[in-house]
Amino acid sequence: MSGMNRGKGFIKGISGSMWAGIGLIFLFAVVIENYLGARNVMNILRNSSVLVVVAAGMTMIILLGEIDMSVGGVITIAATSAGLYLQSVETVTIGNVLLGVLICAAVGLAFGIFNGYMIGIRKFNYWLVSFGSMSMGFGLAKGITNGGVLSGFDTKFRWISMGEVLGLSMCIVWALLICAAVLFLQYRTRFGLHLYAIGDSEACALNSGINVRKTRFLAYAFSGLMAGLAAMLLLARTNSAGAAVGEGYEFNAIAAVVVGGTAMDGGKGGFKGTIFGAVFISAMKNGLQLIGLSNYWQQVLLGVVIIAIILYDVISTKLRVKKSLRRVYSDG
Amino acid sequence: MADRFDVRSFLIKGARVIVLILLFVVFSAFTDSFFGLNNWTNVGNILLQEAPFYILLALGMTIPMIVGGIDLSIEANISLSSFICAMTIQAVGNTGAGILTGLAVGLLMGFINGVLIARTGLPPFVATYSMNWIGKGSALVISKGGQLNGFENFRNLFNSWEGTYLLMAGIILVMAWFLYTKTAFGRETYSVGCNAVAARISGINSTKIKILAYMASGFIGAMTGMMYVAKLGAADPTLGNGFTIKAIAATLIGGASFRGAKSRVSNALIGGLIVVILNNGLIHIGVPGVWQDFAQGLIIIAAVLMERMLEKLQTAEPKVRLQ
Amino acid sequence: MGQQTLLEIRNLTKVFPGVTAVDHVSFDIRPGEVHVLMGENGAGKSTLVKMIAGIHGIDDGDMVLSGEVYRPQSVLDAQRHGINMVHQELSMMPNRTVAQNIFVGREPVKGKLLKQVDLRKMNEDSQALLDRLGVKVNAQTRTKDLSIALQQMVEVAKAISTDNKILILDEPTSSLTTPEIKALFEIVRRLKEDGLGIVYISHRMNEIFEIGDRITIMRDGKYVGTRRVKETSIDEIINMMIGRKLVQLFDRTWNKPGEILLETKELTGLRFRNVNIRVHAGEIAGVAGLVGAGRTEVAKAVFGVEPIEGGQLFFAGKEILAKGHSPQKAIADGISYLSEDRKQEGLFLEFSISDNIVSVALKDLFKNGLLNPAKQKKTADEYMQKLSVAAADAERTVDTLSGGNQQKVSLAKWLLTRSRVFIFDEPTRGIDIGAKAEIYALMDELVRNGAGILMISSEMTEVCGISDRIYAMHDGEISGELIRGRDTFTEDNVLAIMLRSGGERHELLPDKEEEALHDKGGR
Repeated sequence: MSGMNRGKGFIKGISGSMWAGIGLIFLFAVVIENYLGARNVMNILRNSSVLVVVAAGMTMIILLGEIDMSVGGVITIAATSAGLYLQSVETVTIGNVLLGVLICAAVGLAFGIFNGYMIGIRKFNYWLVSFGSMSMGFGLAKGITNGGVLSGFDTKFRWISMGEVLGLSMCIVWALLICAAVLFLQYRTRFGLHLYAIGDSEACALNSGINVRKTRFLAYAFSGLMAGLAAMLLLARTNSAGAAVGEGYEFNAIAAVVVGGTAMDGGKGGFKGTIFGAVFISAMKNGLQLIGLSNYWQQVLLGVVIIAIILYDVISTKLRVKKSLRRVYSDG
Repeated sequence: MADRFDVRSFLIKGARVIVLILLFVVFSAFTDSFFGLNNWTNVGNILLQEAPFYILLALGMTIPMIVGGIDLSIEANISLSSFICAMTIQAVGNTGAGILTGLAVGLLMGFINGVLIARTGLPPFVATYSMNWIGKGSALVISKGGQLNGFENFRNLFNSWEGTYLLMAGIILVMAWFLYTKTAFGRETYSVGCNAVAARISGINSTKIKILAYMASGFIGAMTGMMYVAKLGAADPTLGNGFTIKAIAATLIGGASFRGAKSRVSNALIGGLIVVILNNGLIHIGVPGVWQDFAQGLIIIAAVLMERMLEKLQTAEPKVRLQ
Repeated sequence: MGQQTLLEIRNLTKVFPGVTAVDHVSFDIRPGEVHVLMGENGAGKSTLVKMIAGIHGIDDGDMVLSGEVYRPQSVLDAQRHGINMVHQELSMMPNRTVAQNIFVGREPVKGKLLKQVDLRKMNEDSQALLDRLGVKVNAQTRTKDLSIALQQMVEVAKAISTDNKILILDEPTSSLTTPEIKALFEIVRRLKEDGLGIVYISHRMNEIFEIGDRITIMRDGKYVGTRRVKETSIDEIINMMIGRKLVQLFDRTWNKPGEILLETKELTGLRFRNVNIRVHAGEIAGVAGLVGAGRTEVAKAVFGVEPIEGGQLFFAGKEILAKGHSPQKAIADGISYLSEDRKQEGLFLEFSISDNIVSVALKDLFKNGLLNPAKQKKTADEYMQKLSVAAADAERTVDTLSGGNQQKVSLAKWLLTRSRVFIFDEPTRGIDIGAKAEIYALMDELVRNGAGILMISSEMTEVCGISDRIYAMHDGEISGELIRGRDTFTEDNVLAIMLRSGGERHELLPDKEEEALHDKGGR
């Protein structure tokens, strides 16, 4: 695709909700001083790093037309497992840190493989299985910590999120690297295209010889892995672990994906939008806070903003469809 | 759906009842404290004090599921309507006014959800997720983060007889059951859940049905919230937190499904009972409270496996698919 | 057309629990021939071709392809052997581009290490394929933006995008109108010249005689016979298909048109404008036109599903206001609408036959709002019998029924409302000859008893055979009208008014002239 077409394609790829979102961001920029300044932008990106990683995995599941309710629970157990390990060591070495990261990833992957096997290969209901995994994740974390909270981790580990490279926080760096990898995976590999195919028409995908079971399995495994990596970033940032760290992430990830323009019945949208969705939600929370609203009002307005964004998308799509129907149909 | 009586769904539904009975029997047998012929206190306590709430929570989630949706704003509903009810009682001094206001708030939230979903076409997830933030935030704003105390009168109204909560939950449950399985309105609701387009062409006002389904959820949420206030004797703007997951868990365990027209009122009842008995029984067996969530997760997976096993046992059905 | 055999099918058998779908069928397919496969719904045609295409496993018998044993283990396996199938239900991915659809599952990749999908090659190769077939579509369009006809052709393109020996087409024209069918046949002829063997399943007689070389008939899973199309006749084919002589398909009593039940004046909506039509009691008014001409939109606007933006609508002389019009109101006034997409819009697939039958008349049947299972059962059984719905009992779910029986259930539910005007949208699409005859008979009975029917149909023989008058629509406007008694009903005449565009305003005849036409005879 030539440069021009790429540019046009990119603009086309921006859904209605994104335009509305960009509009809101500019509104904030006008009202708040230095909202789009380097320091605040870094802040926003930092705050969205964990969400964007979780949402990366969620995007794939939603493209299939399903949802992965387990990510919150997986984040929790992954972070808690690593946390317990790190606190069990007297003095933390780089090797310990690496092992901690590995634990996060491995726990996440394990849950993902479980989900993928049950849902993709054995074809159990995705709601029930992922919900069950979620409960097990939260539950395990609560059990092994006896309901307590772990906090205070070694700075070597915390460097994973809090360290800085070239002026960027490490969590942003990791998020960027992961985003690049996921973008490639989703838009440029057969696996990614097959996700769209299955979500669009599973019957067609089956008939075309796509290994639907394998693709589903991989998607859930990947989602679990993403949750594990997100747990690593989260643990390093918030410096605490325990039974509630991942609470709400499943719903927030879904929201980021949907705000980014990926529909929940699958087959449309993609990770490009999710990145925007995650950053946008973070930007909104940031802006609402800077305006000076109380925490409580922030919540209210966040809800209003999300409704407004999606509403804009829904209505503009309806109008667009109406307009195209009006052009009396000539058979081609 | 209501009248389709085939052996398979009967077995599957019956299976859950059997599980409930089994749990009951096992817990009774292996402990002294759970239940004994001379010891009804524990079970009585569960049934009277805990089950009603769980069942209503599950019911509030189940009804939108019938029309193929979901209600993530149950938390906010419980918090907001119960708090406004409490505020009204304090302001006006009249319990009845408080209850009516609380119900009105719940119905309004449900109405807004319904309109956003059915008229404007917002996906149910987005609409109720956002309303949840709006509702929770509003409750916090109104309450300025603080609680309201001193509802002894309110509490005594309910606690005068220990069976009040169970009775109220029972009445609502029976009403819902009757409405959705025995009336034309209920049939229309299931039709909308099965195929909203075909329902519209059949002359059913799909929009109205969906809005009413969410309003029903709002009503039930409000009732549950107010019952909690009565039980605690205080109103808290964060009362509902964490209830969404509980509601979903209960109704899923009870056999409901997010596919339209596949959920029933009985799912809420059975699911709520199983969750309550399980949680309680595990404590008595000696499973520490901190491990309960994990146990719940295992149960859900077990339920899924069990259902698959039952389906396999039912292979006789000749699926003659004429071309 | 060579005489050597491309694919030999020997004693092929497929058994499902409770029924033998294909029972030791044998015949052969030659290169460069269009081999038609015919039979009633349930005869086993689809199951048979699905075995050839690798979708169903083989229980008994075998196949020989170009001299070698052929036993496909999967769809991909069959495709590797050069056998492809275009299904009756279009299985395109609506949100993917044409190129992605054509190459789904085997997207070209580049690079040894990363295996990146080569989007450019995908687009170029698919465009070349489309151009070769003469299909005027841009490979980067999303398939949902294409007309049904073009989607069908893209499916054909997809099917031949691999090296092909045999192409199976399962009712490819069920959603197409005549000009589109002609375009499709052109493609089929080109493929014939390339030496492809084409298996063609269809219910439409005229197509069979136009494009077919040989025809094989199946009945109840068994092989009945093979004939050369040039050496056989419609009667012989029907006889072989149903084992009995079929009474004339279109057996109508021509009634004197009664009062005007449905009338539109300059009706305008999103996809149509200035539509003037009339439906009298006792008549069937056919509506012909290309797919996309706006016929269904008019029907849906009349029924209250889609908005009316201008003009007027009258039912039995009384005006129905555009504002507040809804299916509820239409039904209350006495209008019924059988949707063209009976699975998505006309039935509750997961409900039982009984539940479907009462689904519209709920409030009438159960006046106090309470369901009455006994009454429902009685009503359902009564109507199942009245319409000869073939099913074990009324509690079976509708998705297990054949197309014809599903349509009858759909009709039954509308009959319960005692409508006076019935709008049938493609009433016999995908239904076999036997069931078609039953539906025509039911339609005739309805109008004989004073109802009026507005029938949208893309099947020429049907439109010409059963209508009292034919409206044609083109590009959202009524482009012409044929009235029995005044005009001759031939396919060419209908086509002529179907394709006429712009300018000439369509005016309805005043009542007196209409009556005169009827009395003149020819009806």
